[in-house]
Amino acid sequence: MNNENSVVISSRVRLARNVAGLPFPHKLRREHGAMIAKQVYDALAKSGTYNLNRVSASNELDLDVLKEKHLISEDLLRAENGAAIINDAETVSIMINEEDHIREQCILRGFRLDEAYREIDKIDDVIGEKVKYAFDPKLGYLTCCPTNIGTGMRASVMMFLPALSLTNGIESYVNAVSRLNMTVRGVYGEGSKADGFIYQVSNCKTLGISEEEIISSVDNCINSLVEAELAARDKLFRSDGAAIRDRVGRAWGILTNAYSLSTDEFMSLMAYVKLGAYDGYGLIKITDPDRLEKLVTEAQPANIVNISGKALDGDASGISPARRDIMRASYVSKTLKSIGSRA
Amino acid sequence: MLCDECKKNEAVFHTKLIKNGIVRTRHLCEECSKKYREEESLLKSFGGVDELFSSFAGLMFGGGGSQRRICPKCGTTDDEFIRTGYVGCPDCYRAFEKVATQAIGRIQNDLRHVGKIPNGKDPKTEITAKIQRLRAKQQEASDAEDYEAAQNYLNQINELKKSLETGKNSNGGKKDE
Ligand SMILES: [Zn+2]
Ligand SMILES: [Zn+2]
Repeated sequence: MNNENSVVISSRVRLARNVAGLPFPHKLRREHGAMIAKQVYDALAKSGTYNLNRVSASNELDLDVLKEKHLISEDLLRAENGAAIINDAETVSIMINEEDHIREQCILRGFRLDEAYREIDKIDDVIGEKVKYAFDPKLGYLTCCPTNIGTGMRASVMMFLPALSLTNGIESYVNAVSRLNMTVRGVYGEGSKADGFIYQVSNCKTLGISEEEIISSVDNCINSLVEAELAARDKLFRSDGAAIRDRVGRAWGILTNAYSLSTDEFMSLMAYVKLGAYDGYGLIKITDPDRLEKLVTEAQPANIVNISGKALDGDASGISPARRDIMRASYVSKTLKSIGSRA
Repeated sequence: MLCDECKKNEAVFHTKLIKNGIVRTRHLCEECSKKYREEESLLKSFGGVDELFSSFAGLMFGGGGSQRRICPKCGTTDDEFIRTGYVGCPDCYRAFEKVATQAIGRIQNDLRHVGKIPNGKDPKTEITAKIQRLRAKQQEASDAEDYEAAQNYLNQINELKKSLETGKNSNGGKKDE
């Protein structure tokens, strides 16, 4: 895996928008809330194939699958009149009636914030032709919480930072990054063994800064984090090469041979397989790096059940965690063997 | 919206948690919020929960109080806004202008939008917005008695105004932010 792609997983740009003249979702009357999804969905009719998923009309499994793919948030699941409008490629997801009426997001694999912004900016214009946004010339786009006001924009990058985590360098970087008006958070349960060393870095400031400036400030921050992570990987291998080889080898051995695999065990071992696949180490040969990254999502609980096709009509209640762990082990081992080998 | 904790009752408390500068939202029902507060004070008495549960109000207002305003459009009070960090509708920002401005200034360290505007790709709207921004900068400069800069902004504004009249998209002031 090339250097940058072995650190940056995906890029996301989100724009928060609200409909002019309506109370924000937590104060909105039911009948008004229901109209927004339809309005946005209709506005997008001519710009590609979108699916409208209303939370109240969807089964739990489908919603969990979307959540594990990071296409919708936990908050949306509890929102009254919550809905998500998602394109076929699953690169665009528009959440309706979450904290704000409309949250438009574009998510792309790799380090492509600028491209993600251009895409969502276009979609924002298309929706804006049909929906009058709450906007104030001085304060910009008005949002339910002042932390999003102005551009309503959050540019975030998901990163794989194993070496910085293992060498405890992450703390000082979190501090440095917050001084730059950015935040870093763990994506899968912060600080736990199952976090997979996966972090999300995003801007805090949304007002008094243009969209382009947000993108370039996050870009700069990511570039320096990539550099630091790669330097830490070199250092780690020089000081602790034998231990790294051993952990990567064991992780590969278990993931390709286990009969049963919990999510937590998968997450912590997968992190070492990914680290082993880093070109600078070359311990694992992977023919399809995108497929490897996709496996992290596919092995999550709802996704693995969904792939198995064993849940009838989205009812996953008949599938015990033990059975799910067996399905996961089989799927992970088969996938890894098809795209990789120990070098 | 249902409660985060019990996932049964309607959430009535919407609070922001701040950890390492990251703002998270918690939605709790009456009952769970009580439990939560007990836990919070317990944790605090043990110390070492660095700003884990510091309230949003503290961040935004630094102790500043409400003005007992109520939004005529949605009925939200400024008190509620201070407590939860949420306004109820777009009009709230005008209804509690003073507290809202204070909060925004603290969070954003800025009070003026310089980004995209709806339908901003219409050159006319874009130029008008640019003029607005330049005018604000001009005023700032003259307040700081930097009249040279103020004059410079004025020239850019006049350029843009000309282009508005002739309908041509001038490049003057393109790099204004
Ligand atoms: Zn509750
Ligand atoms: Zn209001």
